Amino acid sequence: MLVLSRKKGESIVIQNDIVVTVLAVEGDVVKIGISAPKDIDIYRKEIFDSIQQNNQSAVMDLESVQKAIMSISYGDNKKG
Amino acid sequence: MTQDRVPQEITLETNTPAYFFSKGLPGFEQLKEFSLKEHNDIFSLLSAADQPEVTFITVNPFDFVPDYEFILPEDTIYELGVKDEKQVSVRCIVTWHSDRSKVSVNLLAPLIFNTVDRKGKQIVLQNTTYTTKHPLWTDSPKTDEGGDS
Repeated sequence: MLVLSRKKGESIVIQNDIVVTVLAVEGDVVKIGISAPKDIDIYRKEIFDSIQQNNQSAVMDLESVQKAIMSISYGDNKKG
Repeated sequence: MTQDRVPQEITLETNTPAYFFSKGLPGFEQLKEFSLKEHNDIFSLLSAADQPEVTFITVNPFDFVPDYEFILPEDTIYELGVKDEKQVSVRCIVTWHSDRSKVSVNLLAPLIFNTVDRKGKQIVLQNTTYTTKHPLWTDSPKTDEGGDS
């Protein structure tokens, strides 16, 4: 991992068009501003991890999908 | 007037076009093409085009959470090439469980489809209280006795 020291207001540039700026430092909280092209996705890592994990536990094969849906098809009420 | 030569075979399965997910899905980044097939009134199935063993049960979140709402980010509108809100369709991934009360739906990361240009993306909502594990059925765990009031 590359490690750089920056002061409040200073930035780093990644690949020409991604600029990461330290906006504020308050105790152990650092506010970071990121400007990047529109097609770059930026997430808090723990949230992205949880989405990945959720998808991995939601994936099924077609056979188990059929079984699952059949198992509730008789009680297929929607909300309340 | 007779049209007895109209081909009949073009109906069913061939009619599930693939959506292109340029970044795949989180956790399945390598899979770019998915079909979205209506299974019944409630569930639709999102399957990787080349790997049907990768299938997700999805629902239209508005069927279950009528007040579900989020603002579609500008970047997503741009990335999916959406020009009209009528092009947009939303589904959320369901995590199945044999215990009905534990079936959950991911409201934090809805799937957005451009139904015209056939592009899709799973987005992650910012500044929201929605979670990845919202109970799908919020009615109490009463036994299924059919009928309702």
